[in-house]
Amino acid sequence: MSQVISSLGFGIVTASILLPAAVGFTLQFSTTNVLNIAFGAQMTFAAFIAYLCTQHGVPLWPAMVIAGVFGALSSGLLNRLLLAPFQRRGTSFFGMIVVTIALALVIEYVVEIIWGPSSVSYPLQGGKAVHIGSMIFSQEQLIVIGVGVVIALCTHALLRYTRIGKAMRAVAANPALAKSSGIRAQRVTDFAWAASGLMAGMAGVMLGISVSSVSYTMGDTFLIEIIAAAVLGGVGQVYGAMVGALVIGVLLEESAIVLSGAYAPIAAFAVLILVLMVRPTGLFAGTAKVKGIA
Amino acid sequence: MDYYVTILALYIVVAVVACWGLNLQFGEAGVLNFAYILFVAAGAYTTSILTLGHPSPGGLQEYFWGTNLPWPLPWLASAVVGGVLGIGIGAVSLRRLRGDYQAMVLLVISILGTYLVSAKVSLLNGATGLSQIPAPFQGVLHLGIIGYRLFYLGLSVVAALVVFEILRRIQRAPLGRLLRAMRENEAAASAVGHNVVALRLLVMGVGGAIAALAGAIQVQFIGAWAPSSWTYPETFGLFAAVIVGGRGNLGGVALGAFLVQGVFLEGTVLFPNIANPNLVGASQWISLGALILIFLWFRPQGVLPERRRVFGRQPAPGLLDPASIIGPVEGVSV
Amino acid sequence: MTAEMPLTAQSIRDGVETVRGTAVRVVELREVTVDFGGVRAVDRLSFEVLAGTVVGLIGPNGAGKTTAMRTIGGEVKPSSGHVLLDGHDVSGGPPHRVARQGLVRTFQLGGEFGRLTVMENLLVGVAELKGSTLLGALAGRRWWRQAEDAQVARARAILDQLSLADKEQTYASELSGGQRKLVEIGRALMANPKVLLLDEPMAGVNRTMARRIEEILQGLHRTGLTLLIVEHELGSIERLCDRVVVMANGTLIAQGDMRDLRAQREVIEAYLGGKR
Repeated sequence: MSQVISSLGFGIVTASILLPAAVGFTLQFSTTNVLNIAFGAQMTFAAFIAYLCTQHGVPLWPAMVIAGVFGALSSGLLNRLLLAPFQRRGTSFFGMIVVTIALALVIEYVVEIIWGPSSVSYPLQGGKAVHIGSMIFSQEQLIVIGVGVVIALCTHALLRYTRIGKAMRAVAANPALAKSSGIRAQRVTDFAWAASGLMAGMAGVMLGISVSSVSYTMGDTFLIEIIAAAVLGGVGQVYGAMVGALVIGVLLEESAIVLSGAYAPIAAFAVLILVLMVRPTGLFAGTAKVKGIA
Repeated sequence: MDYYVTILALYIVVAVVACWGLNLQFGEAGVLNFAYILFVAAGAYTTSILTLGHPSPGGLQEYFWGTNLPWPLPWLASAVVGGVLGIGIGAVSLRRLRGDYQAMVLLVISILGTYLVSAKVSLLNGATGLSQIPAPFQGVLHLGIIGYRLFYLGLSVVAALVVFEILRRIQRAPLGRLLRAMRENEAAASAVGHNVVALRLLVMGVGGAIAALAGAIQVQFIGAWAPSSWTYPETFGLFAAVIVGGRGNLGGVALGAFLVQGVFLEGTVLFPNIANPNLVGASQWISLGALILIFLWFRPQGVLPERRRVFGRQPAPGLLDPASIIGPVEGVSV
Repeated sequence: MTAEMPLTAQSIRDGVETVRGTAVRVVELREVTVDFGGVRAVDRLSFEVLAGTVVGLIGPNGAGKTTAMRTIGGEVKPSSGHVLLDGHDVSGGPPHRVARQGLVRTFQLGGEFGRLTVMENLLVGVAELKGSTLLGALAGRRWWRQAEDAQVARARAILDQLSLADKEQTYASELSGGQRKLVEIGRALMANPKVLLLDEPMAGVNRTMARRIEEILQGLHRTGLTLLIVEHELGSIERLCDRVVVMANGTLIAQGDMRDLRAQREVIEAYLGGKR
């Protein structure tokens, strides 16, 4: 039983990383209708940027912020230079998926060329472990959880109280209507990509801290968990993605204890498939959106 | 040199068959099966256990069951397994889910397969994979290495031709037209009375069978198969070949498979002395990504685009009475 | 229902020749309600379409017309209520089954198969054709050739009527907006429908083409085909329709003859007045 609780601690850490990632992924998808397979690769790239910073003496936490900013800028640029032109050309929904797949390949292997195939790690302090009940956290893990919570709150505030956040929700709910009611689509799209890049960057560094290694395939593997969380919550549902992150994160770690480590992802993904059998649009399906999917 | 050429030729045949199956799903019917490589793997594993014989306790490798069937039964059985798996996975992922969910769930299923096989060692020898898979008639024929390779290449080409003929018939028949209609506009296809769910399951089944056959051909040639042979990015490599060659055009897809899978991916692996092998690996994937982007931008229809279907002009007598169909329409001048 | 009598009388008054004997309800909506995640798109909508008549469905933007169309076509499942076709409940589809039973619909936008030629677009309209099953396709050309040739001839005759004969080998994506609408109508005709559901067949089409589409629809009406049309162009609606159903905020607010409707205050306020 105490094992179950202690792994709940790991689950919360994993969920805290999944949260910004799934929120960023789904926020950008719902506003721009591009399913971004390169999201994992963007995480990896930003994680290595943070690594580069720490190599040059920048402390880890400022490095995480730098990685986030780098993620935001590069993601915004990628949209302007590559994805938006393809969309303007009328590339189909599935065509855009293939574009992001190609982008993922390019980013991932550029990282491999620059930093090599073997994994690196951040300089971690270690420090005193913190006991909460039978859960044990390192100080870094606690900060990771804190960052996750802060990001969740910021996202909520952004969507609820800012003009740009409201505009994003409007575009997500009905792109055509939002456009005709005077929302500047270009600004919203730019913002969505930048925000998702920021979250990818932060999540990349958080993941690197949590598993204490950073490798060029790391985001690629994690992408599946992000997708699982986003799909579970209902694609395009930001709050759904938060719940999805929590469920998938905890499931992954708990099933590692209840079953054995190797089966953990299987259990988590099997739950996802089962949920979709019962609720084909995820847990938090909103209004039936009519989007150009074909 | 012959050594490399025969290997390369076989890899290309396998890639062509695999890409044809993917083309039926993606190029013709517009079904985005991100789990495609899973079906190749299913075929490879099926043929492995159907040729390796009973697993011996304490032997080199573990697998849940095995027997020893003569060629071509393992290949046929692989195709059946691939087809059934395709319909099964299709029923789970395509029946009720929206397009975007389908793509993501299939991706998840592909990973799920890799994890499952890696985790459960007693199933198919886990992450180490199966090896020493026998090749057909190798003990019977005394052909030498190159001679046997050419013989095996012959068998594969025959299989590829059968696949080609099946796909060509589907493509030319009214069925092929329905698949393309579904690709263009699913809602419209169902609004004129076509069951798009059934059509999607059909291409999942037939495409899955073809993928599995490709896996079967490959595994008896290389003699080994492991989860690292079928990670999900492999699927993207096949997609790249279909896009570059020309979706919906069997010749184009074969060309794409030759260019991307043969020359581009395998070619560089087979001639490792060009540069630092590590760099070759990475730059090969980068250029593959770039190649996809370049083609999608400059030539989205591929090298050889889909052909326009033209119908002959022999009117069938007695059927050309317009009034019997919609009646006289006044004011519409021809 | 007593509503049948005045309607039949009205249809006759309008000079419709095709009402055969007693009026037969082909399509009937009974209290159809559609909710989309808390938003009520259609609210207890009831109306009927008599065989051989042309019924118009009008209303301001967001009135629920297209949702009503999609519900009738089986694409959207009503939250409550029923759609009857020839007295059989077809609510909730699936759409392909509803289409096979004779209710074929066209789309407001982009309903054509872009990368299929005009001829292929029409051939897809044929519900069952030899060679459209896996076994049929594998049997080879000899098996399905004759059946297809017959349909090709039929399609050519329809294309002639639609003045699209010279476009047979053109990809639908290369046609003008109006021609695409015609292709959709032709494709629907290939399916031998009992009722044709047309979602804004004249939207975004130039005046000449709109007039031509109108004439073609009139021609179809004369052959006895039943039409249900969603349209914004009230002139066309008035010329084409025997009866008009007006929707606003998901509910039916009036129905009857277009000339009478123009005089009704609710209609003017909800729709006609709102536009001016």
